[in-house]
Amino acid sequence: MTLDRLLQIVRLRLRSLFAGAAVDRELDEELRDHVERQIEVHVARGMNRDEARTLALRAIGGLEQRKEEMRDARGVAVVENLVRDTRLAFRQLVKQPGFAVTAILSLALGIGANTAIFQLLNALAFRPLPVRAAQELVEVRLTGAGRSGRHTGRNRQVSLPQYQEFVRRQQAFASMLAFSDTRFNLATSGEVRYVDGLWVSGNYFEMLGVAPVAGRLIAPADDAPGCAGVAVISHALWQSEFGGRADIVGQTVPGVGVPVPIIGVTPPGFFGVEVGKQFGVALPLCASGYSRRDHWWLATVGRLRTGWTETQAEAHFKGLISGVQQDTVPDFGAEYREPYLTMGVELVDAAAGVSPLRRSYQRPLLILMAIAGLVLLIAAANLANLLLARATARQDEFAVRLALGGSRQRLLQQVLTESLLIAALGSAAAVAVAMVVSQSIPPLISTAVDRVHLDLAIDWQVFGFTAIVGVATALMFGMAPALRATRATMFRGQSRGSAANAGLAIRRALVSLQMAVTLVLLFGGLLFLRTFQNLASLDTGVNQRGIVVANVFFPEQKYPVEGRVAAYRAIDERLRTVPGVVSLSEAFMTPLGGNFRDNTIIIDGQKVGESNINEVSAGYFATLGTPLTAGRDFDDRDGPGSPRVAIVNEAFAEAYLTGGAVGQRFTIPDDRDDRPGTEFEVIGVAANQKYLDIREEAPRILYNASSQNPSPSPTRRYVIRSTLTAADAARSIGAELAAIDPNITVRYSLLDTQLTESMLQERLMARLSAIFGGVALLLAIVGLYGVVSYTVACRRAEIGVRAALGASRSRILGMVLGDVGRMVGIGIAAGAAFALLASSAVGSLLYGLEPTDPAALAIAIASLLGTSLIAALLPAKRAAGIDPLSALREN
Amino acid sequence: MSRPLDLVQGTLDLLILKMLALEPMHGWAISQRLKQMSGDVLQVSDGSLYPALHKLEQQGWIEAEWKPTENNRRAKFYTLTRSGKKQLARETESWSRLAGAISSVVALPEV
Repeated sequence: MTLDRLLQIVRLRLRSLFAGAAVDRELDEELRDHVERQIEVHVARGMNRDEARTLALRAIGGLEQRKEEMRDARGVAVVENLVRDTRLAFRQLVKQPGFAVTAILSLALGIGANTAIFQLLNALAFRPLPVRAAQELVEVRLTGAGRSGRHTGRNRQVSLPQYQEFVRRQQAFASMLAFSDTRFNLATSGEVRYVDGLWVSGNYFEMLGVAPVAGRLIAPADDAPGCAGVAVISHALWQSEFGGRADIVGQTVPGVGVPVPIIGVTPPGFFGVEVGKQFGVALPLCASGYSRRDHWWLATVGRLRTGWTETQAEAHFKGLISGVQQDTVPDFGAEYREPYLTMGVELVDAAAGVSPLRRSYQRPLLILMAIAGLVLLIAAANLANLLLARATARQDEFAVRLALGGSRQRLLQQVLTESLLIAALGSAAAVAVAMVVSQSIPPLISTAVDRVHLDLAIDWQVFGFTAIVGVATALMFGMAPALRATRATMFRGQSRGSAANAGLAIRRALVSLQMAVTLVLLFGGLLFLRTFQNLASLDTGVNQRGIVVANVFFPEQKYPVEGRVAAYRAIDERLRTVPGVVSLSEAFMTPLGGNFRDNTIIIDGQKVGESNINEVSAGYFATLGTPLTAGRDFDDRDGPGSPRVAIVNEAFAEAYLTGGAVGQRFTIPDDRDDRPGTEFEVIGVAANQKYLDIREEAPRILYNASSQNPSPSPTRRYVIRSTLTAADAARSIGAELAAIDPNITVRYSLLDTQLTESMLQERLMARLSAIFGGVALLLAIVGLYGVVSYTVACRRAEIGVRAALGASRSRILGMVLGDVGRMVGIGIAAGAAFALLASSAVGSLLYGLEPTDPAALAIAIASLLGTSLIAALLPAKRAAGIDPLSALREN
Repeated sequence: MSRPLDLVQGTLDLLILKMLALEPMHGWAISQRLKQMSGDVLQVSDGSLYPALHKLEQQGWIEAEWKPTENNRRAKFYTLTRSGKKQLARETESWSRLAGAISSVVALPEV
């Protein structure tokens, strides 16, 4: 079809549609012209005018039929009907605003919940990365436990030597990049200001096909061993930190210790390969100085060579892995070598990016999606109920129209149009609801230093999803009422009561269904709520209230490692004198802080097991409120030269040191086989603390004395208990540190917050499932109320008769409530059975209770039963108050 | 509408396109010219002409414009479009094939 022709056709159709009257007039004129000319011809041949007119009209075969045919030729009858039906439907909604608002709001909540969760899933798991040919990207992941040593970054998979070996050997990828996440401190003094950073291989930007908006990006030549480093910054950082200045190239950003020159800016919208994260500064891998064989920090992504499939590439990598492991094995003792050499490899589709966030949230989100789907089912049932009531009310009208020859199809179309209009308005409102809901979620799963950024824009996927859900819902709630309404015959139309009763059966079934689904949702919500409560009330072994954690960063050049022990001692003394500080101590890590260190424990030359390790200074246990149950705390006796001492927790003592732990000895092996391990004498036993994960049962922990560490790190983490508020404590400590040295930087957090942040997933599930459960309950109660009111109205005459025959008010009340009880009871029984069968699907997300928790089920049933009876009470009272005389007179 | 009429309708489209390929015309003129040219052989009712014109316009083969006529009236003048020309060529071609095929069948010697 040529463009000209297409344009002409579209123009004509539009004209027929929107200027139908003018088109009709033209038709008229054209035909009349023809008829008049014909008449003239006939008259010219001697016919009289009337005869001529009759003949001419007969020849054309009836003006109106012709016009109708021409209208059909325009092929717009279907659209015209649709427009007419939509207008009609719209008028009817406006006429019944109560119905319209209830319907649209129910849908907005139901569809909105679904759209919101879909938006999150879409942004996290479905949407391809905004880079060149994202579908060709594949992540390389190692399997098996063989990685001991240092772990940094969220996507730690391989060491630098492993990455280099893969690059050297592999054939399947056109290129293969590596990256790791980090943070750079933008502040040069005072409080730390972190910006998310990336270490990237030289081919990173080139492989992803990213073009700079200013300067140039990191190229392979920039990533050479021993490099000084160049920085690429994100568009967002360019705007926020540098005001978008044109001479950005050549400015510097603080790197690690030394300022690094900026060479270019990435385009807006580019966030790297990790979904859910953004970066401000990217530096080449070489600038990190990391190259150890036992440092796990890199994620690697390859771009498949043309002609290679992911399966072929995986087979190829499985063939390479043992050679790679052989050539990169760290300086491990025999016990670590073996697992390292036998590690496997797998390829994972990375078209939508790599994301630890996705790994932890995909399942919760899918469960929330199912929950949202059930909420929508309840909303749809409500609408079906409302429409059924209307259908019954309009049965007379339809019966008459059918009797007069209206086609059933035409009536169906009209009724379904109304449903679709409601769905369309509901979907539009749903998008607004979804925006609010989905925007509120990333902050819920972010921590203070680990912000989640998800692009939640409404794209075509989200729009299409909402549209499909909207239409499907419209058909779901519109079909039964439409069929029912249009099945009416003249006969049925006259005997209205029986038709109403038939509709009522469906409506009662819908209420039972709603009750069943609501029970499932309430039960699920309670399971997640109790899981969160269980976690939140766990004893962490720490009195975390009011504890401020200060991470203090000392400039390395000013505090060389040999002078640190003395310098730190002096600084610690000064900080202890800050007014309001009750106690202050230093710790390698705080409970549930996210860092960890562990090692093998050797007693009498025998490996007895593993233990977590923390390194703390004197006063740590007192500060955190963890009692020492035996022995003593670290003190001045424990210096760099004195015999190494350790405090162990009760779990450690029970596991390894039976019969009085204090005074016993154990050894921690060195990283290397050829060096002897370090022997410790236990001087104290502390009560149990949590270590890395709040769900752990009493992890074994041993505590070293930081005062015995001859080369402390330039970063110190203080835990501080004070009589001040957190903000005041931070201010006082900050002022004291600035007085000591303005180049010291510090970051504060609250131990309380850290603990909460380790339960983000549970908190999200608890909140959202509780909210969805509440919405479901509200919708179901509205539905129940509507049906009970309607039932009472339908049975008005019958109830009047009963009352006239002497039934007491309480008897009628009991009758109505008993009826409601049956409806709700059926739903609850079905819902409870389903909930108990289906709940094992969420078992892995629960803590401290079984998926069939009887208490949760009991609470769910009780609350549903209670609210149902309250909702039914009002119409039931109305029934009891029916005046028999007036009820009977009406009939 | 019954099948034989469809066939006539199809042929009518071809005739109208051919007519308009000669010169732009209004409905009345087309009907007169058709009568003139086909004489008794083809009976084209006035009734089917206008819907056919309309359909052709909707399909984009012809376009219409309101213009004053020789006797100072307003009439809708139809013109063949570019794609209409191509359509005419196509229809002429298939008509010739059909006519040829039928004649050759009809011309077969009978035994």
